[in-house]
Amino acid sequence: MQYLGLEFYKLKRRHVFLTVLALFLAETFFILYSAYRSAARGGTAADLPWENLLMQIALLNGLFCPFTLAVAASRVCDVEHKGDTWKLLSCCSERMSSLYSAKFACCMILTAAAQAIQYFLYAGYGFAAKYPGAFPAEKFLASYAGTMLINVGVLAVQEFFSMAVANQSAALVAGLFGSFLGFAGALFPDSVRRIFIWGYYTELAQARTVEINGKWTLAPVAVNWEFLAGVFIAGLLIYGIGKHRFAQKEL
Amino acid sequence: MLKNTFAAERLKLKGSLIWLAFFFLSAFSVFLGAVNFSYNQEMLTHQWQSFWTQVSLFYGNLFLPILIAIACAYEWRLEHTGRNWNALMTVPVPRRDIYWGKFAAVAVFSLLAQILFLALYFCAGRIFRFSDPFPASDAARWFFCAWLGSLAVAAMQLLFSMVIRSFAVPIGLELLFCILGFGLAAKGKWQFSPNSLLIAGLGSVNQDALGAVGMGTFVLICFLFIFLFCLLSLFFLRKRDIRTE
Repeated sequence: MQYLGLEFYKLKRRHVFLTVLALFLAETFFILYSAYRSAARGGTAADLPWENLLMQIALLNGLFCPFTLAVAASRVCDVEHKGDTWKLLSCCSERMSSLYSAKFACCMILTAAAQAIQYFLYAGYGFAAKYPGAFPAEKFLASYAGTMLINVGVLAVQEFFSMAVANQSAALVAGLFGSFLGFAGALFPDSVRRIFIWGYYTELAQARTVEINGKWTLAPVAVNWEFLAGVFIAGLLIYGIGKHRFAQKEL
Repeated sequence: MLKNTFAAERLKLKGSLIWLAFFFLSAFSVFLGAVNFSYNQEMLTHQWQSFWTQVSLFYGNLFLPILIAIACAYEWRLEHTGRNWNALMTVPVPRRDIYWGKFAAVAVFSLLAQILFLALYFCAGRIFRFSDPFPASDAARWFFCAWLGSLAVAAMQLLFSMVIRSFAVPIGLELLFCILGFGLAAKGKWQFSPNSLLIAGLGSVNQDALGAVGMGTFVLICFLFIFLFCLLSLFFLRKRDIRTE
């Protein structure tokens, strides 16, 4: 906890939370505008607006989450590279593994808080736009929790890059690649998409476009928690390996 | 002096492996476009032109602008580190030459990226054995528009990367500009942002956009953006006091 507190102290006046929030708010604006346009056009999106909204969230999270996590991890880890504080920290009896964990927890808290605000905005918009039907709280919670589970894996990859390589362009290229896979992964066959952790954001769509009697409609799809649990475990493994490798590295 | 600052920028980039990102992401764009094209050949009937829309789709919308942003952030990263700003400001070099040296380095980088992308497009296109000849004049126009459009993005990003003392934040901003640019280009209002200019110039939104871009307007607006952002950067460099870590 002390290390975590120190991480937040290091971020003072660096506006990292604002940066993360700004990126997620841009996503929110994009999604809500798209939802508004779809509802105005009528059809399935207007009949099932909550489902449509959740589907849009899942698709755009694939684009925004990996890149935002890359930016957050880079900002949090680059502090040490810039100041070349590795030796100083280790002389102050700060264990490298604890530093790694504290930075990971710090990024996760910032992202979770920013995304919580995002989901409140989605719900608020749904109520303001008088979406028909009851508010699908369970589905929204599943979408948020599932996103956090996938974020663990994605952040583990990003943190490893940001900590291990001083040149942050490597971490950001990895983030860009992840964003691309997260967004365009929806176009790939499931067997290909599921190879990459970034491709799992679309699993949280909870609806799928299907053709019934020549008419396109949205059909509800349950979240596959087994897959998400698998991604979470893979994320923990990546985190564990990254932390071990980093702790062993010569300063 | 500009020649010297350009040589210094080249030295700073030496061994940075940033070219690897350009090569990898360009190749990935072409590969993905080729896969998508091979699955939809019955709908995409204009051979080389249709193939271009597929390979340039993600390249123009996402990869190229963000790669340019990474290159710009990398150019300024060294100056933001330690007390390098002090060192930079006290060397007997005009400030405008420091800026133009960086701009020239990014421009050369982008030029090489376009050559690579066009070469990959040509090689991938040969695999499909199109009956139509290679559209050399169209390719030259795409090449020129992509490069000029990327310079407008570079001018904007050099300003952000210079003002914001962080490597990641200007790149994060660029993602927002990519989304905005895509929205503007999709609505036909490509004149309003450097990113939408790049997308329109590459003709990667749809097939109809090819040839619809008035070259004169395009070039003029690109130069306007470049002039505006370079002027702002030079003004900032001249007037604002520097801050070191």
